[in-house]
Formats: sequence, structure tokens, C-alpha cells
Amino acid sequence: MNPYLPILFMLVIATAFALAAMALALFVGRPRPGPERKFAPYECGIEPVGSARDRFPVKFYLVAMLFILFDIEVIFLYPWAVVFRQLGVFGLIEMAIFLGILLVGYIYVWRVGALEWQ
Amino acid sequence: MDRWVLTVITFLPLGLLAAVLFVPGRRPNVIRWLSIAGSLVPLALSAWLWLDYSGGAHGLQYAVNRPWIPLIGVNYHVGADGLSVPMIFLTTLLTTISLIYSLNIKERVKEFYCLFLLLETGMLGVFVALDYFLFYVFWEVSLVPMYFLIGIWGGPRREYAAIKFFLYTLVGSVAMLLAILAMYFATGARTFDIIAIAGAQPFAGQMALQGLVFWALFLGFAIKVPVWPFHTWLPDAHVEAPTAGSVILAGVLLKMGCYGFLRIVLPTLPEAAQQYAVWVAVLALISIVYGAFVAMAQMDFKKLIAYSSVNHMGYVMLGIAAACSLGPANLSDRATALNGAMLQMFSHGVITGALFLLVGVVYERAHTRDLREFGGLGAVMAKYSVLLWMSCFASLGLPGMSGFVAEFFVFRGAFPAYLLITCLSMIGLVVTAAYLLWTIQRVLLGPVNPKWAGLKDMDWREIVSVVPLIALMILFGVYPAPIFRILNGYATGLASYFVGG
Amino acid sequence: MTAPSLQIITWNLWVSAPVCALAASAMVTLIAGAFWPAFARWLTPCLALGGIALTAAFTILAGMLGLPPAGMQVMDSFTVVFDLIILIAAFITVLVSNHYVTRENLERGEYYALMMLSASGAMLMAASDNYVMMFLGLELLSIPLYVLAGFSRGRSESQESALKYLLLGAFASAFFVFGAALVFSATGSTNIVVAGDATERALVGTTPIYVIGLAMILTALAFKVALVPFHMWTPDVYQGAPTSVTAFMAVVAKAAGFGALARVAAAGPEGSWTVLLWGLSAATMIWGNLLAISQNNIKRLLAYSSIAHAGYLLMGILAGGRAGISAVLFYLLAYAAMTFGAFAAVIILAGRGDGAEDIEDYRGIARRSPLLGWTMAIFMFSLAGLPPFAGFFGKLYLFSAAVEAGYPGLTVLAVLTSVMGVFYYLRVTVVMWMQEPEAESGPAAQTSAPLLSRLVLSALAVAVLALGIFSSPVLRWTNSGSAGLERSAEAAIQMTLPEPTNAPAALSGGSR
Repeated sequence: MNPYLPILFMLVIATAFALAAMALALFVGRPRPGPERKFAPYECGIEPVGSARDRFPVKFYLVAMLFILFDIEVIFLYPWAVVFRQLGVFGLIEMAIFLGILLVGYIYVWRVGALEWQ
Repeated sequence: MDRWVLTVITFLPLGLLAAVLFVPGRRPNVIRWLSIAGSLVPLALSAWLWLDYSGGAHGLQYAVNRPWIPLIGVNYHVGADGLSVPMIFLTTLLTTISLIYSLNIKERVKEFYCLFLLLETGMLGVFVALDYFLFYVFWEVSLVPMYFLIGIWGGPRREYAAIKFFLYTLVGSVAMLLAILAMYFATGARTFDIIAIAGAQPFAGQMALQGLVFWALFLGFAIKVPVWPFHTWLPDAHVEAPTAGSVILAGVLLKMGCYGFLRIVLPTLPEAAQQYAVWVAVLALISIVYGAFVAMAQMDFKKLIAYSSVNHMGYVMLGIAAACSLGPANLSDRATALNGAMLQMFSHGVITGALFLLVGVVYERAHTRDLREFGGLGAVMAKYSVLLWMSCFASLGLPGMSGFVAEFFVFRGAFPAYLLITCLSMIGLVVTAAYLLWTIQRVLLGPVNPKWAGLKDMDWREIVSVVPLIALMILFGVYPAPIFRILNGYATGLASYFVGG
Repeated sequence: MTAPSLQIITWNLWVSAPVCALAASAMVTLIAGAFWPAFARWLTPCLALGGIALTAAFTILAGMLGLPPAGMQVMDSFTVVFDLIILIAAFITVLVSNHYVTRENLERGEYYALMMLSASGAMLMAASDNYVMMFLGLELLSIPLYVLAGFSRGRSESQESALKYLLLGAFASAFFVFGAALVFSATGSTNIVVAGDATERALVGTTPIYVIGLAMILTALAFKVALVPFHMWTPDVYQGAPTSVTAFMAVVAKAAGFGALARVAAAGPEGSWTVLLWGLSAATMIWGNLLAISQNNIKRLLAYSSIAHAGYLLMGILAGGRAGISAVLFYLLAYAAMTFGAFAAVIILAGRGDGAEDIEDYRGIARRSPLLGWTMAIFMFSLAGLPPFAGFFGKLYLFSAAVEAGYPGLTVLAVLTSVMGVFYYLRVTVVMWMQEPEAESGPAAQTSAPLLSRLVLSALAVAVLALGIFSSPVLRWTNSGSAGLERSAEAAIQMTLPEPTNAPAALSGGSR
């Protein structure tokens, strides 16, 4: 069997599922929501409070960036987990070094006060 | 001791420079006298060299050859022969004289003396180096201090003159560098040794390539000499340079160009030199006649002397061209021409040095160099008048002065080779006599301009600077044997390359 | 696809010890700066100097061990020589930075840590014989530099410089990755030598994909070393970045690029590669020197001059062989000394807030400060290529290597353009030495500097002179480096000879 065949299957199924969902909504759901809903920022229901064009602290970005940094780095643990047995002690040390570097980064971030809100 | 004398002479000024650097700038007199006293040592050593040198056909003496950058075959190879001994003496003499004369420099004394000592090392290095690499390094080292001397202590247009001088010479020297690389790779022996490469004759039989290398070297040296049409930097540099700078520029730096022809071009590329000698002779002729006529037209005393250098260096080039001419000239003719050219190098250094000093003397008093404003100074400044008379006579080639001997030898040697060119260049002699006599008339004779009635005569500093030069002019004019004893060996050796070829 | 073989693990940890040591020192510096900000002024530079010295010791030690290639990195004598050049440059940067960082209030531990990380990236680039590892080094070199370029947060020029460098640098990195991918797809190997050799021995032939891939890698590296036409960022970035960072960029980033180029060139890509290098070199020399003539800002002038010097250096890469690469290494050392010297003088002269950066601001400086006058003159003359300074000897070695390799035309061009270069270097000396100082209202150039700065300046001037006059032992040393490069390339080919290369095996670095 061609190894790419499952991908083709997946493509077909995904397309079919999307089309089916839309078709189903057309038949089962109740269309034509009012115009006030159409122009709201979140069409799915939650009422917005205040203007979306608001200023908010740059600290959010900092936290978000730090989160992404450490979050992404944790992802590297997964492939290691998969080949944990083959890599053995070497892999363990390697990972310890990797996490050590992360730790240095974390300590640095903590020490310079990037984690404090004020 | 003998072997290392050249190294000592060359690097002593550098050591002196280091000593001067440690003298605080607020004690200018210590700096001045330390430099002058120190510069007497190389002068004494080079005088000893002159007396000790034994001559001979390939009389290379005091040679030292040590590896410097062995990976590419660069050696610290120095030595002296009949060509370089007088030049070394000329350099040390003119440096000491310039340092004495420059006692009147008031601004940035320390830098002035440091640069001058660096300049001396550079010039001496050029004359003792027997390795292309070493030669090139010293060649450029002598360029930088002169650039600063013109640019800092020069006249109103000093920046322009300094940059022009530097760029002109640099264009020439990079052409030379390319030629050196070409010779290095053509020889294939991984050596930069001037004598070894000349011995290997790298381009024997390859006229096209040899011609190319010849013209590259020609450009490098001709700009320095300077040969018409590469002379345009010279008047600017001379007019703007301080007096001592002009003395060294005309007295020594120009000689480096001629030295290059005699040391490198003729022995290494004899075929091309012979082939193109007639062109060199024509350019020399133009330099002689054009230089003389342009000098005549000058109203600026210093510019006049500067153009007279173009004129006088033309004789050297004529002698060189005659020595390697195609044609019937025999060994004795060629050797005569070379002897004349080499004596002219020395003699012009002495004479022009004196003339520039004398221009400086009058400029410092009158603050003008305009010949139309002078007149009758002979009555006001008696000593000055005597010295100027003698220098001008030496310059125009009066028998009994060194200029005459040199020019006579050049003409005698060039006559069989280039009859027409030699005859035409006689015009230069006549015009030279005319403008120098006219200059004397305008400066010394005639009614005293009341503006200058109060000028002081020369003081001891100026007299001490000029008198040794005058003495040499007379000595070699009356009795040139001591210098020919040294020159003749090299001249004959070099001339023999071109006989029967 | 089978799982990649795990032979990677068998490498010798010693091979990467120098890079690791420097990176670890950088982290120590970072943490120290964060924990004791009060002592950052003297503690972090001291730690940085110590870390660099430690790394140098590791490098020398690793070099003496005579290690075999470790899969993706090689510790041959080329690496040793090159790493030491980088470390010397980093050491000087720390010394030169001190005055600047103090004056401009940039005293943070990050400054030195970032610089060391960047230097470790430079070392990695030159030590890698694999495109993947080289890319890692390229990024490790570049990312800290983006931050450093914008380190002077208060100045908008600095921010502009950082942004420009980041955007264009990221673009260049993308080129590198794409090029490496194309080379891999054409030859089945990411090992530089093996990939080059595969085409040479016609295992796969010089396919268009291989040529395009190599051209893209060349583009990325040309961007790093600022070759025309990939130089557009240089003047702006150099001008805006903090001056000490500019000096670091001009020397270390450029050296790293040339180290990588030397590795790629040693693999012997033939044909169109030499034509490309010839053209790039010629264009860089001409354009860099031409544009430098019209500059009034000293940092921009030095930026264009650094472009021109990249053109000369490329001649050595083009010439290749033992003489060519040795000349490149020597020239890098000479270039480092004189460029650092020039920038060290500019740091002092520019004064607080980098006010006086126009050449005209330096009128008559030589009279007010003989030290600055003399040293700057030496650096300018050396950059112009006048003997007896290091710049002349470096140029001479490059030129003679190029002539020997059969590029006399390019050499003539190089000589002519270096005459052009003399003009603008001379201008600086004219302004400093021959013009009168004037008491004008504009930003006056400073001449006062702490003792350390003056010592560094003098030491660099002496180094420029000594590298010229006593170039013989240094040349022998760089020669050993270029010989090592040749040997490694031969060894890598030997190792692949017994069996034909195929993609999975090559993934493990082409060695076993």
C-alpha cells in the first residue's frame, strides 16, 4: 500500500466532514440571526464589555512571551520520552543539561523581576 | 661591527625617535638638541662608510642577510655599494642640516622632530635594502612622515599639497608593487632578493611581459623622480612644504626614483630597458627643456627652484637612458653617462638643498617669495648674497662646481648614444643659466627696495646649515676623484650589461 | 523512513568543549549580573574576560589532543586558529566596551553575556563541517547580535538598527536553510565536504538544484560578511548600533562568515562557484571603496571600509589552498586589530551620547590628544594598507595568494581599489592632524578617556605594528590552520569513499 494513501483518506474525510457540518446546519439549524449579532465582535454569544480598542499593560505581552518560551521548550521533552530507553544515561544527562539551561533562563527571568507584576 | 654598520645607521634615528618620545613636549630645546646631537652619529658613521668603502666592480659590502618572513622568502638583506654609499651620506648629511635649520620651528616641536627622524630611517632603509619587500616597506615608510611634514607645517594650501603628494606617489608605488609581485612569481625561486632576482633574469626573452613590468616600475620611479609628465605634484609639494621638508624632498626623496632605476630596473630588466631607453631619453629631454622654461616663467622663488629640480633630474634620466641605449655606444661611454648621472644625483641633492635653505632664509625675513618684490638684497645681506651666488652658479653648472662635472659627464656619455637628443637638451643648459642669473639679478642686484632695507643678515644657524653644502659643491667641482672612486665600480658593472647585447 | 541512527552520540565531547565553555561562561555572567547588579560594573566584564580566557585554554587543549571529526563538528587546527582569533576579538571587545558601556549607562550583565554567546556561535560556525550545525552557529551568532544592536534602548537609531538587522538577518537565515535543504536533496548529504565531493565525483552530478542550493548558502553568508550586493544593511546597522557592538559586529560576525565560507570552499565546489566569488569580490571592492569616499560619518565610513575589506578577504577564499586560507586568517587577525583600534578611538572621541561622530568634529584632535592622533593615524594607515603596518602585510599575503592561484586580473583590481581607499583614510588623518581645532558650538569631540581605554588603544597600535613587522611566526601559525582545513576535507572524503553515500547515512554526519 502506498504510504501516502492515509493522507489522501484524511484529506477526503476532513473535506467531507466540513461540508457535512455546513449542510447539516443549513437543514437543522435556525438561520438568519439579527443584524446586531452579525456586527458584534463575538458572534457566539458573549456580550462584549466596553471597547475592544483599549490600552492594556505591556506586561501581558511579557508574560505571554515567557509562557510561550518555556512552553515550547517543554515540548522537547516529548520526543525524548519516546526514545528514552534507547538513549539511556547519555540522554538523561543531555536532558539534564538542556533543563539546566532552561533553569538558568528561568532564574534570570525571576531575578530581574520579569515575573513580578509591579 | 663592519657588517652591522648599515643596520645601525638605518635604525639609529628610530631609536632616537623612541628617546625623543619620552621627553615631555614642554621642553622643546631638549628635543631639538637631542635630535641634532643624535643625528650626528649616523652622519659620522656614513662618513666613515664613505672612507672605508673600497670600491670594485661588484663591490657589495657590509652585507647582512637574515631570514625575515621565510614562508614567502623575505629576507632582511642590506648592503651598500657604489650606488648607495653616497646616497646614505647625502641622506644623513641633509637630515642633520635640516634638523639644525629647523631650530626655528616653534609649533609642535616634538612631532616635527619625531617625524623627521622616522623619515630619515625610511630614506636610509630604501638605500640599503637589497630585498624587494624591505625596499618597498622603507619606500612607503619614507612617504608617510613627509606627508605629515607638508600637511602640518606647510603653507596655506598644505592639505591639498600633502594629499596630492601622497596619492601621486602611492599610485606609483602600487604599480611598483604589482611589478614586484610579477617578478617574484616569474622568478619562481620564492625569493624577494633584488640581486638574486636580477641574477635570475625572470623575463629573459619575454619582451611583452618584460615591457609591461618595465613600464609598471617606470611609473613607480618616474613619479618620484619626477619625469615629465608625472611632475605635477612636485611644485605643489615644494611650495607648501616647510623649508626643511623641501630640502629633504628635493635632496633625497627625488633621488629614490633614480636610485630605483639604477638598482632595480636596469639590472633586472636589461632587455626592456634597452628597448625603451629612447623613450626614456625623450621624456628626459622634455623634462630638461620644459622644466627650464617653466622655471623661467615662475615669479615664486621656491616654485622656481622646484621646477629647476625637474630640469636637473632630467639630466640624471638622460644619463640613465644613455647608459642602456641600443646602439653603438661602448662601455666607456655608458659608464661615463652612469657616473655622470650618479654624480648629478649627489650634486643636485647638495645644490638644491642649499637653494631651498636660502629661499627659506629670505622667506622668513620678508614673508614673501615673489621675485618681483625683491631687489638689492646683496647690499643688505652680504653673507646671504655670497652663498646664493655660489649655489646658483653651482646649479647652473659653472665649471669648478660639482654640477658642472656631473652634467659634463652626462653629456659626454650621452653624446654617442643620442646625438640629437643630447644637443637639444643643451637648450636646457642655456635656459637654466638664464633663469638663475635673472633670479640673482632680481633678488640681489638692482636698487634696494626700501621695504627690505632693514633685513638682518644670516645668523649662525643658517650659515651652519648652508656652508657644508657649499663646501661639498666646491670640493667635488674641483676634485671629484673621491666620489668617482666610489661610483665608478657600480657604473662600470652596470654598463657592462648593455655592451654587445 | 527508518529512525535516524544514534551514532551521533558517539562523538567526542571534547570537540565541542570550547563552545560549551564559552556558552556556560556566558550564563554565569548573565546570572551574576542579575544577582549582583550593584557590582555589575566590574564583575561582569571580569567574568567575561575570565570565561574567554578559560575557553581559550580549552581550545588550545582540545587542539593538542588531535581529535578526529565528531560527526558534525571538527576540532582541526583550522578550528583552533580560528577560535583563538574569535576569542582574541571577543577579549578586545570586552576591554573596548568597558568605557563605552559605562558612559552610555548600558551596564547590564546581559551585554557581556550576549556578546559571549554570539562569539560562541561564531566559533561553532567555523568548527562545523555540516550545514545543519553551521546553521545553528549562524543563529547563535546572529540572535544575540540583534539584541545587542538595539541595546542602547533610549536611542531610536539603535532601535532602527536592531530592527533592520533582525529583518534582513532573518531573511538571510531563511536563505541558508533553504539552500542547505536543496543541497541535501541534490546530494543526499548535509556534510559540507561529502556534498561537495558527491558532485565532484559525479555520483549525482552538478545538478541545477545543487548549484541553486549552494548559491543560496553563499547568499546567506555574503549577507553576514556584507558583500556587495548584500551589503545594504551594513551602513545603517553599523551607524545605529552602540559603537562597541558595531566593532564586535564588524570583526566577529565578519570573521565567522569567512570561517564558514572557508569550510564551504574547502569542499571544493567547482565551476560556477569561482565565477560567483570573483564577481562578488570585484563588486565589493569597487563599490565599498567608492561609497566610502563620500561618507561624512565616521561609523558609516568604517562600515563601507569593512565592506571593502570583505572584498579583499574574499580573494583569499577564492584563491583557496593553503596560501589563500592562511592569508584570510592572517588578514582577519590584522583586520581585527586595526578595526578595533579605529572603533576604540571613535568610542572615546564621540563623547557622551555619541554626539560627535562626524569626521569634521575631529578637527585638530591630534593637537589636543597626541595619543589619539598617533594611534588613529596608525590604524588609518594600516587599514589603507601601507607598510610597515599589519594591513599591508595582510593584503600582500592575500594578493600573492590570488596571483599564485591564477587571478592576476582580480589582484590588479584589488590594488587599484585599495589606492582609492587610501583617499578616504587619509581624509581622517588630514582632519585630525592638519586642520585647526575650532571652538565651535557643535558637539565637541572628547579626548579624555580612562586609563584602561588609553592602554587598550596603545596596545592595539603596537599590535598593528608588531603584526606587520613580526608577521612571520603569525603567518606560520595561520598556515598550520589552513593546512588543517585541507586535511579535514581530505579525511572526510576518505571516510565516505568505501561505500556510496545515501541519504540516511549522511544524516548522521557522513562519518562513522
